[in-house]
Amino acid sequence: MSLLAHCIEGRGIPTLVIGTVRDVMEQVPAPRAVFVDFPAGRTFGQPGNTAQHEEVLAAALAELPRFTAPGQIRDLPHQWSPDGDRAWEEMVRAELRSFHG
Amino acid sequence: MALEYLPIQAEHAGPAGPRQLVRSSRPAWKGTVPELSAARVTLLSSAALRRSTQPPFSPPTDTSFRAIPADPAVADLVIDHRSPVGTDARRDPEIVLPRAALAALQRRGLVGSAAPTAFSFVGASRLPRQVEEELGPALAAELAALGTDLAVLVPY
Repeated sequence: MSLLAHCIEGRGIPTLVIGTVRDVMEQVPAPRAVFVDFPAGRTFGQPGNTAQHEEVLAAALAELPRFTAPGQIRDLPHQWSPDGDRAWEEMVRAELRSFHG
Repeated sequence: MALEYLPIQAEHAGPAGPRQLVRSSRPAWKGTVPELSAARVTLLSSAALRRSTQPPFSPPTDTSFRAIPADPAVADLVIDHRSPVGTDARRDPEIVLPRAALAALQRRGLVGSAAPTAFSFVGASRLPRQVEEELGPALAAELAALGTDLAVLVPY
């Protein structure tokens, strides 16, 4: 996605990447990126939770004026589980194993 | 600390090996961003989303794109990307292409307007040159024609 963002930005249109895979976002920096600490494939939240989708998108867009240089990644404070539990990471590992394993 | 995906992908890579991450050969930066409340925003997703009536994508070497109505009432979306993380997105594509959320932000006056069209293509391409030289310019031309002030890209 970084390649496309730079292509689009190079033609004069500002871009914002909103992603969940921080290590990839770090290795191939986009002009501007916001990291959401949700499981991959669920960038805006739980299925059917329209209020959450709107909240995450609004929060990501609100970061726009805070970028001061290319390649920065800004982190949103949102958590997948309200109590901060990270059991979802095992779900993601299992999904990826099922595909690649 | 954020989950690290690259080691998992490397551990379970198939015969073709893990995907090589390629940095842009022409990095760009437009220093100023538009005032959001007056901006036209276009959504893009690398989930290989399309309408059920549109030709399917052929991952992972397909570098075409599909134009999708930004109207969330158009609900016949399917995902052709083969990533296993799509279980929830197949139930609710809004979590990777937030058309309804963008429309809601427009109604609230936080964004000027949602472009009438969103775009999708196959992410995690193994053809970076084609992405830079063909897909990127084609999408940029579409965005310009729509009067896009801000492109929001959502990796899958």
